[in-house]
Amino acid sequence: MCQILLIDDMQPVRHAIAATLRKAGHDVVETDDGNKGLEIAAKRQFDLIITDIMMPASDGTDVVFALKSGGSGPKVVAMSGGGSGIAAQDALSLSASRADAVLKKPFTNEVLIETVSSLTSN
Amino acid sequence: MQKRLDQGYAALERIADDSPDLLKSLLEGSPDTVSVSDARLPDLPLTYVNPSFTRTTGYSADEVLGRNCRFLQGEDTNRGDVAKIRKAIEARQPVDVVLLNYRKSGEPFINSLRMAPIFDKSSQLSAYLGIQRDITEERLQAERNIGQNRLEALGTASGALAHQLNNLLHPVTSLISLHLPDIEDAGIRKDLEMAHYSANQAADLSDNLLGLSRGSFQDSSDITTLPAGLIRAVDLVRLMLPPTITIETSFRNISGELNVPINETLFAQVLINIITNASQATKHSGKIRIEVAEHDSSRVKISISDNGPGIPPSLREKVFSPFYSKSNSKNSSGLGLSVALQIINKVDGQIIVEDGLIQPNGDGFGCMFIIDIPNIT
Repeated sequence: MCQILLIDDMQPVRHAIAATLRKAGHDVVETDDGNKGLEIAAKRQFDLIITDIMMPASDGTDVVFALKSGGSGPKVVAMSGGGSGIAAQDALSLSASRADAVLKKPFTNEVLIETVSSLTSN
Repeated sequence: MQKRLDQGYAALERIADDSPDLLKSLLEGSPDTVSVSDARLPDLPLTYVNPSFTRTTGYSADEVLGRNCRFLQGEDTNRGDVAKIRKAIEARQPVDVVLLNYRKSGEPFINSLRMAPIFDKSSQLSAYLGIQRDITEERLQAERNIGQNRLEALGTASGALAHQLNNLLHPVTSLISLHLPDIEDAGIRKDLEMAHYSANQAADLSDNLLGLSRGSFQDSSDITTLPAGLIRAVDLVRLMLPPTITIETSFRNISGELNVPINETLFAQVLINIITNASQATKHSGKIRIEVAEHDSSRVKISISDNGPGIPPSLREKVFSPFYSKSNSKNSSGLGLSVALQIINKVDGQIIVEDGLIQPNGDGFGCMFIIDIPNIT
């Protein structure tokens, strides 16, 4: 079981991801914004943080960079489906250099669970 | 008014005195086509045409002087446009009209005509002045730009729509597949599997929409990759046409990816115009087959065949004329195939018309448009 922080502004999407993670036995804290996510991460220890990239109030890329600026810290997964005029790869390109993994939306439950277990097993 | 007229006449008289031929040279040298008809004679015979008229229409002055200028009209000239001219003449009013005229060679051109009654100093109607401009190129260019803008807007809109759809579909597919294993009732499982299947189909459709937007975002590039660019255009045209039309594609005759030297949006515009035309020919209920073939290393042929009524060989050149097909559809600009040919000609290509697929009753053949363009793979 892992402690996971999930950051996504789209409530139904976040709910589905969180439900999938919980069913796999993980503990999930949800938030809808990158800055709130960073505040929560500062107070509590997580094994893994999953963040969306294109969010209205904050950019997930900043979250990835902030979390990865220190030496040790939680594993970070960046996910995005892109936006109008921006392909998912482009939205993820900056984060890809820092994040431990990227997930291109839409992804299946299986891909999500595999990504999480591969990052947290060792 | 009279004073201005007097001043104008005085200035012209001075010009005539100083350089007796200048006024004539002005008419002769005018880049716009100038024609003068005698208003005092029955049926307004032409009394003067300038060299630009001769160049544009292909008729020499000898062939046209003494005739009414309606010889420029032809079978696809809109009767309403002609009626507008006739009414203006009856009312002794000037008129601006854009109409389809024909050169001596039979080639149609889009003529922007201004015609005005000319009154002499004593206010007697003495002549009709016609000023004309061949605006065929401009019109085709404008039509091309409209098509391009429309496709780009569609690409942007479909991209935005696809992202929204993906976000909405993710919870549907994810939550159903998450809980499906826990459902023990076989009937409920079957229902949910159906819902899951439909959501996945919707996600595939959404991916197609994203593909469209990606094509048009590559706009800076003057290269289209086949078959991917062709598939995107066909996906788009499928959305635009009724589901009663069958569109098949075959890429068996190419070894791999091919590059052609044309911007993808323009390429899509050509295909959309030709495929839409083919669909109309079959009254949206026939079959269209699209094939790509490399016929040597330097050229690519893309053929679009339908099983509609076909076009007799003698008329095949004509289908590319502006307004040729206008009567077939009230929604069409009548410039679709002209624009397609113009775009393809600009990239050193050509469009050839041949016999297409066999008709459903087996009596004859539909039409095949072959786009022949350079291969720059």
